[in-house]
Amino acid sequence: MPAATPARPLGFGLGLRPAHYTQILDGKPAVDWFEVITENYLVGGGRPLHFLDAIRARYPIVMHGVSLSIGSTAPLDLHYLDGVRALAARCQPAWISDHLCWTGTGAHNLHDLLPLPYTEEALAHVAPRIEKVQERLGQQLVLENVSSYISYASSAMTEWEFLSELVRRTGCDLLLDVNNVYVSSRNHGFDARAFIDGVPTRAVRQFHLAGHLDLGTHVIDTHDAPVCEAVWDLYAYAVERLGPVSTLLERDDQIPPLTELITELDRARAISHAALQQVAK
Amino acid sequence: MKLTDLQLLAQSHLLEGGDMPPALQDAIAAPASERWTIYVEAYRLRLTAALCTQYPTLTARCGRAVFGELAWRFIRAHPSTYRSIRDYGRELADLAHGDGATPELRLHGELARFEWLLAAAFDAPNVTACTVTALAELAPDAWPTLRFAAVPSLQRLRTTTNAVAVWRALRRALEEDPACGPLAEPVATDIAPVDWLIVRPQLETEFRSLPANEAAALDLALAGVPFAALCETLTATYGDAAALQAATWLKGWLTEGLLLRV
Repeated sequence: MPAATPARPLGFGLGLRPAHYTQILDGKPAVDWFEVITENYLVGGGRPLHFLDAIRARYPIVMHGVSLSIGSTAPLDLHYLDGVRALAARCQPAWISDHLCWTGTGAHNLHDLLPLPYTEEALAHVAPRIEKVQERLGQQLVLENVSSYISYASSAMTEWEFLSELVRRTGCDLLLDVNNVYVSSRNHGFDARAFIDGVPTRAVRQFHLAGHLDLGTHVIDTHDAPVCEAVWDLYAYAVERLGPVSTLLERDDQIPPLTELITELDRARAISHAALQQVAK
Repeated sequence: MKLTDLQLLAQSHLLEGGDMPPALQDAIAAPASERWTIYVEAYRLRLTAALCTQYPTLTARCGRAVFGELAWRFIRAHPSTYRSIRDYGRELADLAHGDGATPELRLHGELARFEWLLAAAFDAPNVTACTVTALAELAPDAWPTLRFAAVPSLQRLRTTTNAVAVWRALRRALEEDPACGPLAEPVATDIAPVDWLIVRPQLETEFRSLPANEAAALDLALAGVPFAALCETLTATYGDAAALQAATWLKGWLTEGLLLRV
C-alpha cells in the first residue's frame, strides 16, 4: 500500500469511556479528539453506537483495537476485519490503530497483549499480515508498542529495530506508547531514550500516555493511575525528538471524573508546548 | 523454537496453568518464571473482571470470593474465542445453575440468564419496528397472511424462582454501594413459572412479565405463524372473541416495538 499523506496532528485527546458520555455531550469539554476501543463498538446498535455517533459529530475520532492479533500464527480473522472496516465507514476515524502483539492462536483469545520474539522469522510473518490488513481496511495501519514483562531467548534485535523494520517493509505507522516504553525499559533494562531515538521519526503518528504500577523490581502497565513524573519526562523527550505528535491520555480503571483527566491532559499540552519551544531555541 | 510452536506452548500454559513447561522456560529469557506469572495472573483476573461486569447481581448475590471461584471454573472450561470480551460468558448461567439441586442454585442460574439477556438487548442491532400506523394502512385481505418476527433486541425468559425480584433488590443495593455483597435476599421457589419479555425499543432496555396466555400467543407470532392461524389457535380459549383478543395483544406488541413484518 502506498504511503498516505502524513496526517495533521489532532492535538490532545482522551480515551472515550462510557462514564463520560453525557458530560462530553453536555459540557463540550476542551478535548481535541477521542480515541475509542474498536471492539466496544463492534455491536449492532443501542447506546454504544448512539453515543459514538453523537460524539463523532462533535470531535475527531481514532479507532484503537485490542484484538487484531497481528503477530498471531493463526490466520487473520477476516470477519473481524470486515467489522472494523464497517465501523470505520460509519465513524470515519482519523486513523485505525492496534498493537504489535499476539492475543491468542487457534480459535482462542487470551484478551492480553503478548509480546513477540524480535526475530527475522517474526518479521517475515508479521509484515505480510500488516500488508493484508492495510489492503482489507483500505488504509494504513498504526501499530502500538506494548508493555512487556518477558523477553524471548531467541530475540535477535531490539524492539525498536523490529518496529522500524516493519515500518520500512509495510509502510505502516507507529503509535508510540510512552508509558509502555518506560514500563518495558524498566522490566528489561534498556534505555528508554534509545527506544525513542531508534524509531523512524516520520512514522510516529500518535503518542499514548498512561499510568502504571511500580513494584520496584518491575513495573506493570495498569492504566489505573495518573501519569508518573518519569513518564512525563520521557514524553517531553519524545516531543523534542519527534515533534508535535497527536497525544492521547488513557485511563481504563479507577476512572476519575472527566475534569480530572482534562487537568492531566492540560499538563500534556504544557509539557509539549515547552518541549517544542526548547527545540525552537 | 518456531513462532507457531512458541505461541501454542505459551497459550496452552496460560489456559491450563500449572508448572511452567521447561520448553517455555527455555524460550523466555531470565528471569522467566516470575515475570511470566504476570501474564498467568492477568489472564485469570481479566476474564474474571469481565464476568463480574457481565453478571453484577450474581456477583453481589454470591459475594466476590465465591463468584471468583465460579468464574475460574468457567474460564477453565470455556476459553474465550471472542474478539470482544463483551461477548464472553454466555454459558455461565448453566454452570451457575449446576444440577439445580437447591433453590439457591436455581436462583443463580436464572439471575445469570436474566443478566445475559439484558446485556444482549442493550446493544442489539437497531431496527425500525412495525407500527400500529403501518398496519392500519394494510388492505383487509392482507391480514390473514400477516406474519411477524421479533426485533433483534427482544428476549424471552421463564423463571421458576423470584430471580427478577432478587435482581431488582440487588441492583438497588449496588447503586448504593458498588462493592456490596454477598447479599442475601430470600429465594422463593414456591411460585408459578413466570414468563418475561425483554426489549430495547430505543436506547433504554425494558422488561415486563407476560401472562401465560399472552406469552403463548406472542411466541406463536414470533415463530412466524400467520395472523389468521394465530386467531384460530386462540379460538379454543377465547371462542368468538379470539380475533378481538389477538388484535388487542397485537396492538400492544406493536406499541411496545416488539415486531418486524416478514
